[in-house]
Amino acid sequence: MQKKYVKALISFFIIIFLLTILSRGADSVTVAAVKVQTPRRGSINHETVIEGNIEASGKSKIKIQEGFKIDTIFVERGQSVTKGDKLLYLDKEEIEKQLSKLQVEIEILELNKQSLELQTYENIYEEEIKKAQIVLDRAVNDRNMNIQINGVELENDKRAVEDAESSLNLAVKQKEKQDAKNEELFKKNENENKRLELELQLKRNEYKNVEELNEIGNIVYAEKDGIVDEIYVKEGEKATGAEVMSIIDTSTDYIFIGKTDKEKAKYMKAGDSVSLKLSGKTIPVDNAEIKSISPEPEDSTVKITVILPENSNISHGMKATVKHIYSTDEYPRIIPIEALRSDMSQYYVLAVVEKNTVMGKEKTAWRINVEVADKNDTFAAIGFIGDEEIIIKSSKLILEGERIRVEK
Amino acid sequence: MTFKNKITHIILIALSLLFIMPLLMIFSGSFENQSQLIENLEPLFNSGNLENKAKWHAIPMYPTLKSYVEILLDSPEFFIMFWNSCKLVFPILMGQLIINTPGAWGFARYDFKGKNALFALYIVLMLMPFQVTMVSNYIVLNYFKLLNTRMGIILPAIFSTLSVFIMYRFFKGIPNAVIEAARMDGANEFQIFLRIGIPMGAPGIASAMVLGFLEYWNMLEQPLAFLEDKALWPLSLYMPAIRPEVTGGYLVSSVIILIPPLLIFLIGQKYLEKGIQASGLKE
Repeated sequence: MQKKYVKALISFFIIIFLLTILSRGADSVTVAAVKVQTPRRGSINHETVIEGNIEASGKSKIKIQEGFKIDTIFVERGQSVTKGDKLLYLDKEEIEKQLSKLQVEIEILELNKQSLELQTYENIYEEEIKKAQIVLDRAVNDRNMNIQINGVELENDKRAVEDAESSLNLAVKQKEKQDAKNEELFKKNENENKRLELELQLKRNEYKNVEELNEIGNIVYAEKDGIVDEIYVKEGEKATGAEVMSIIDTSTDYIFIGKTDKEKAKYMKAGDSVSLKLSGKTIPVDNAEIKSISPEPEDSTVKITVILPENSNISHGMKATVKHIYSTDEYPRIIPIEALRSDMSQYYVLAVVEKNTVMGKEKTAWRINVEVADKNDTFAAIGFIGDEEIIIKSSKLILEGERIRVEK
Repeated sequence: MTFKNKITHIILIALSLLFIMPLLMIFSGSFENQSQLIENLEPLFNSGNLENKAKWHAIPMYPTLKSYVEILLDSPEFFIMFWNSCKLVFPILMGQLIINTPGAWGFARYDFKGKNALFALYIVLMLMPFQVTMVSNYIVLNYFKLLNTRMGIILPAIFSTLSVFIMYRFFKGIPNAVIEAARMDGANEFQIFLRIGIPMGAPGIASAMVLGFLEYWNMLEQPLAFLEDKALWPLSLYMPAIRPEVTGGYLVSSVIILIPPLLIFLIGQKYLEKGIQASGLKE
């Protein structure tokens, strides 16, 4: 019986020994292995990448008068043209129609102008004044003669002079009114005349252009050397008066135009140099420079314009990305962004603290609330912290107060 | 069996059940679900709740081995403390065996000057509780730079007076005739101690060891007072404060803590009985 108990006791100790090993093993698996780092001095780089397109700053726009029919297009998009090359052939009939229509319009305008110029500005009240003056003079004479004869002024004479005076005054006032009216009309006509003159000039120019076009066989030629950027019409279509073709000047400068959020662009300013990478090319263009940053009125984005250096082997319409790096001043404490944790609106880090426990000296995670001065995708500059070892990486999720194993 | 005997039996069984009740409660509780335990014991932890009383189910409501798994597989600190206990108890018992057995033999078999005074001092020291000698112990341990070390617990315990006293009683019980016979056969004093004293005093030695084991396995004050480093704490300090959410673990640890003393007691039971018989031997 006693032997049985001794065996049981020995077995108990063996089981406890095995469980000790097992629990130690389980513990080493469950305790998070962490990597630590002390905060260091450093600056934060803010990298902004913007996607956009290369555009030519100088473009010639080819416009065709409304109503003209495009008969033939001689060029294709991307084709280089030299000055004098044929671009478009327009339908002859439409042009001739247009010419005769313009001619009629010019004639009408000229007639209108002439009739305006012939208009006179008479005042019938001038005659009225003269007549009233004569009546007044006569009434005054009659009165004076009667005074000499009778020695007194007769009532009838007095009334006659007064009537004549009021008639004269009325005539003067009416004349003044008519003068003002005439002057107004004159000015109006003068303006109308000027308008007609301008319209006439426009029509004549238009006529001249169409006539020239007609004279050179209804063909539109390239005015400068360049590359056909865009053709907005098709053969057989009628021009709407808008641009039908745009041609990039050979000697033009290229710019990069891209859009980004205002927030992203806050570290950029005009004059900063950026590196530009063209789609499909491996070597970036390094010495590009931001020309302007202008807010877009319709949304919260900004338009970034970058001037590209010459001889960059660039062509219009290429896709490109611009990379801008802004480096802050040096911060006394920066940590990898993985070490920064947040809880509601409070940022914190987990530092390593050594505690004396049953298991011996154990390392546990200890929360320190911090203030973030600045951060990017890789680093954060923080305050309210000393030279504590900060947990930057852990094998599993760790909470404050949990045991950890520091890996070197 | 007479009627009177039957009544006595029933009363004894009822009383023994009453005494064994805490053990049964610990055992059944260790299989109980933790949330159920919290619910059962809530009135104990909530001092404001005076109306409800804590409940205990003889058979667990939702039996589970989760607490056992947690303690046995997920609590390395439990095992550290278990082995810490062993590292304290076994050296103490070994030391007592080496130091106290000859000491007790000396007191029992030899007459020397001041023996009675010294023995009286032993008894006085034995009667003193730990709290009385704690400060002086502390000063001495500090002087020898033994504070916060295992030796600070082991050394004072090795020279425990209780085991000397128990063994003294047993060695005293060995008949003089036996010793004299050995002496006449030419045995020297050491041979007498080794060949006669130890075998005949074995029940006493075993009793002292069993009692010593129970005492030191459960000691609380000494490690609390002298061991600052938690890594040295024995298993008796595994449950310094009971919190509702870990009661399951504590019950399981109680069961496991209980096993070694129980087995040691069962192993030593025969010696204890023999010892009691032996102590009845008088010249």
